[in-house]
Amino acid sequence: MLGYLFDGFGFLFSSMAALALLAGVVLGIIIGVLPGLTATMGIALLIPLTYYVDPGIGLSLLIGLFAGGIYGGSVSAILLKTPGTPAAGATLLDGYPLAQSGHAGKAITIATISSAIGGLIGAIILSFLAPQIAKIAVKFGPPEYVLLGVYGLTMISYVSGGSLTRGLFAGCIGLLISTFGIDPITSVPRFTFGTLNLLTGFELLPILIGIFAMSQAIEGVRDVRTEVKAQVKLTKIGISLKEFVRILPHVVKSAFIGTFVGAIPGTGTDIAAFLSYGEAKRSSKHPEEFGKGSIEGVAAPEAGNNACVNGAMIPMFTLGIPGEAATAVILGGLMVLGLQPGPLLFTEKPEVIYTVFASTITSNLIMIVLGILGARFFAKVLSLPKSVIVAFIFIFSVLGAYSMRNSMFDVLVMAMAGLLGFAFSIIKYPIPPVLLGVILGPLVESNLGRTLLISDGNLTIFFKRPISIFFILIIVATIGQNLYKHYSKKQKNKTL
Amino acid sequence: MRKVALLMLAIMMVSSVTFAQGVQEEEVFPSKPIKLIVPWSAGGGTDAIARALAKNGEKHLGVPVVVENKPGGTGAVGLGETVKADPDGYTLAVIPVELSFLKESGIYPFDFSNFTKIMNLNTDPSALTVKSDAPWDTLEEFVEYARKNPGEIKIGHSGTGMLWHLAAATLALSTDTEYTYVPFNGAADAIASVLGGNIDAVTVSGAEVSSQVRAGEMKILAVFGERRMDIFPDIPTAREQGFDVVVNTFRGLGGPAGIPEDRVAILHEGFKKMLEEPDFVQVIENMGLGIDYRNTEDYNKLTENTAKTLAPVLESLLAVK
Amino acid sequence: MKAKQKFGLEIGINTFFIMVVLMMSVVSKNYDFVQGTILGARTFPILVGIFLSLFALVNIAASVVRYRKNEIVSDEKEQLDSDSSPFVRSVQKYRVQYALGLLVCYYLLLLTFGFIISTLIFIPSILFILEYRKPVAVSLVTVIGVALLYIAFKVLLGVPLPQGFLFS
Repeated sequence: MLGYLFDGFGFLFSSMAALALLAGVVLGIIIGVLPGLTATMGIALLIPLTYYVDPGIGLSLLIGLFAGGIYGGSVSAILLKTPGTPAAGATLLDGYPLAQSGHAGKAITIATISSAIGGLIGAIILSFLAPQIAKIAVKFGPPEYVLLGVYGLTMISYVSGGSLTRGLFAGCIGLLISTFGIDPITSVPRFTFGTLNLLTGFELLPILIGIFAMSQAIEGVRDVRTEVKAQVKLTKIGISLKEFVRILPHVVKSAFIGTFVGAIPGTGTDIAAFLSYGEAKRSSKHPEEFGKGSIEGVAAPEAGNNACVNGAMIPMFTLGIPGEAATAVILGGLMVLGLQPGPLLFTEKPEVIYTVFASTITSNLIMIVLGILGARFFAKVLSLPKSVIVAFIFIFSVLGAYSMRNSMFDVLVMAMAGLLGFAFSIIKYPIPPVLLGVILGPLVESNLGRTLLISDGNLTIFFKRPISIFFILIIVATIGQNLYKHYSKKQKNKTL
Repeated sequence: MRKVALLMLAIMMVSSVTFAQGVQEEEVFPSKPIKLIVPWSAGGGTDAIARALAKNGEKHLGVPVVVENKPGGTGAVGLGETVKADPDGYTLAVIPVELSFLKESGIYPFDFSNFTKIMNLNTDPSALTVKSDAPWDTLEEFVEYARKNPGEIKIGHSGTGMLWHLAAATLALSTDTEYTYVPFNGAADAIASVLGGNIDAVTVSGAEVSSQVRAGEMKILAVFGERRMDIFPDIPTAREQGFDVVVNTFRGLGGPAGIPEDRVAILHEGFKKMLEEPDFVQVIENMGLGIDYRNTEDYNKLTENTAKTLAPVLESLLAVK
Repeated sequence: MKAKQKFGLEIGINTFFIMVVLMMSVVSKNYDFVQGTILGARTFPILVGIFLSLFALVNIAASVVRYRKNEIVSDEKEQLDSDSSPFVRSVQKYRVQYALGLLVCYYLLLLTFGFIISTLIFIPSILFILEYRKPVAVSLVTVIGVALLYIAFKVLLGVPLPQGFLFS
């Protein structure tokens, strides 16, 4: 086992594969930083290139790109509040305020370190426990997905700010947005008003970019005369040992959450990031700092989404079933190369598998070097005049929404979401719950439909399966803990 | 007034330029890159076929063939884009089998009459596949069980109204049995659900389950094709087992309605050569997919036959509410 | 923004989404049940809609209470520069409205002329609204910005940028 892994490293460094991996990570970071260009898209663009090289080299390129792309999204999220990929949607909640308070360099460093550690843990789990994890992952049936989604929705209480009803209202808007388009169960085209554009419903990325970046830019126009807080020192990128110790437990926990979310098919890096964020806030000693620039709030989602990258490869290689959108693309590419991912790949072509494992581990090490070298450079973006930054956020928003699927309709959707986000910020309604609704709506709805089909309409199925009972327990515990906190706070206020 | 005159002048200039371009293009076809729309996301079987084909576009047509993914709405978005495009032969699409019947269910607002058909590229049969430790070894046993326990067997497919759903429904109709159909977001998720024991069977394509079958995790009870699959020569078809169930998906090549015949001929010639390229054949074999070239006329027959044979199946699905 | 306007906006948004829910429930009336489905196409949206409406009503009630108690506060208005031209003053006063109008124009320009020309027009205009008006700096930012984006998207990655119908 370990011997094979060494062979993998051997291949990696004795061939062009290491170079391909480096190129992949660099290209991935560029794609991730540019809004609208996702890791999935980058992989699709590069797959034809891999037809002409050794599968090991081609795979290294794609794996580097995947890891770099998910990490790169955090940079634009932190600096410009413009998520480069949906996975960075949770990172910006604290990354952006942290950068605005003058710690842009530090925020990027934290994102880098957390991404790399998270990715590394994910890669190690992938290398040593893939078959075992895959066995648990396939046990995840429709009822479990419903409950995972519901658990995700309880995160609304963590990102609602002061008022829970406002958060729930916002969450319902998100859920409602997610119901547009063809119904996942009956295939009835819903609320499409005869246009083809709405058949697929609303894409996540344009909404994400609109509601955060666009609304932010409009606020920038309004507040152009407000004095900007001086940047502490942009080039200061270090974090103290104390800060590292503070984020480490959250990074490790998020890495496990991310790997597992990645391993179950049909969920992706965005869900991993939000679940990690919620769990970090729940268990943090400083929950009041969340949303205002908490370092744990940057570390957790980044560790989670990069671990998810590796988790998503578990079912791909062991079962031949993609764990996430980008892995679906890689899977297609592998088949064109003549490799059939699945149970047999381990016995038929172990050298390919172990090259992959070596690549995932190495890609995270490359990322940490590139990220720390780049942090200084990236942070300098914020030393541009504020007006110029705002102008480019507008353009990035438009391009980001457009590039997702080359559609001007998505630009309109983005603009609408931007207006909603701007209005929400005026009346102080929380925006993140909208996003949770949009991300989790399809997961909950389609699997609820499937669950009812499988159980013939019987809801007791949720209480008959071990994993789903486990989820029910943590959902009840989360809601209970929240109500308790809410109630005891009120009691305190009364006695004061 | 002067502004109006200026504007008129500008419009005339612009239109004369475009007109001049139009005339130039008339002389040789093709003279600019051809766009090949794939109505699914990157990474799927259709996408792989399109990309492997397009690789040799320049060699046989003289211009590059550029693949563009327009996913969404179970193919409707990309196909809609194709229908709207100019019928000049520069916008083509890989057409899924669903175009022959999805207008009735209201998912596609168009059908084959809105398209110019060029040729058929590939055909894959549906395969009834179960987990390897399932109690059935033949289609006979499976149907026998279904007769005794109507609605108990749960069959997964890749979307209500899509071909794999109709494949399961065809089995039900022709054997007079009842199943519970569970739609998934794509074949891979349905296969995972069989592996996890949440559902009993899938009726997706044989290529999609091939890696599980080869690894012994799943077994195919019957191939719903006219003949056995090349990758599984030992697995009998449904017909061999005495059940007349034949459901194939096919992917064709076409463009918006009204492409001039001479251009269709040029495209047909070029793409036919691209289909015969050894590296294309290799890619398709790697994926376990079947190449099935048919000329425009035969492709026409194929789509019409499919629409005809599936009509009663669709009806059976919509009749019961 | 004045407290009254903020109050109006909050009520407006909550009401708007209740209307959306009502509209969705009317539109979805004819979504047929297909054989063998238990959760129909409209069940989930309507369920969500009911919850949404409930929360919106609570929000409206809470907002009215806070408005009565004068808990919604106005933001301070900034001083208009008196020494500039009427146009510049109106841009300053209605900055957000101008920016939104400009975005609509940008969208239409993108549809017509494509990315490069539209962005060359958009950047200087939005910078004007954003009170960044040094001619040399503005031209530099515009040209370099467009060039960098073009290189990154089109040349390096080969990703299409919006193309106007004039040039397609």
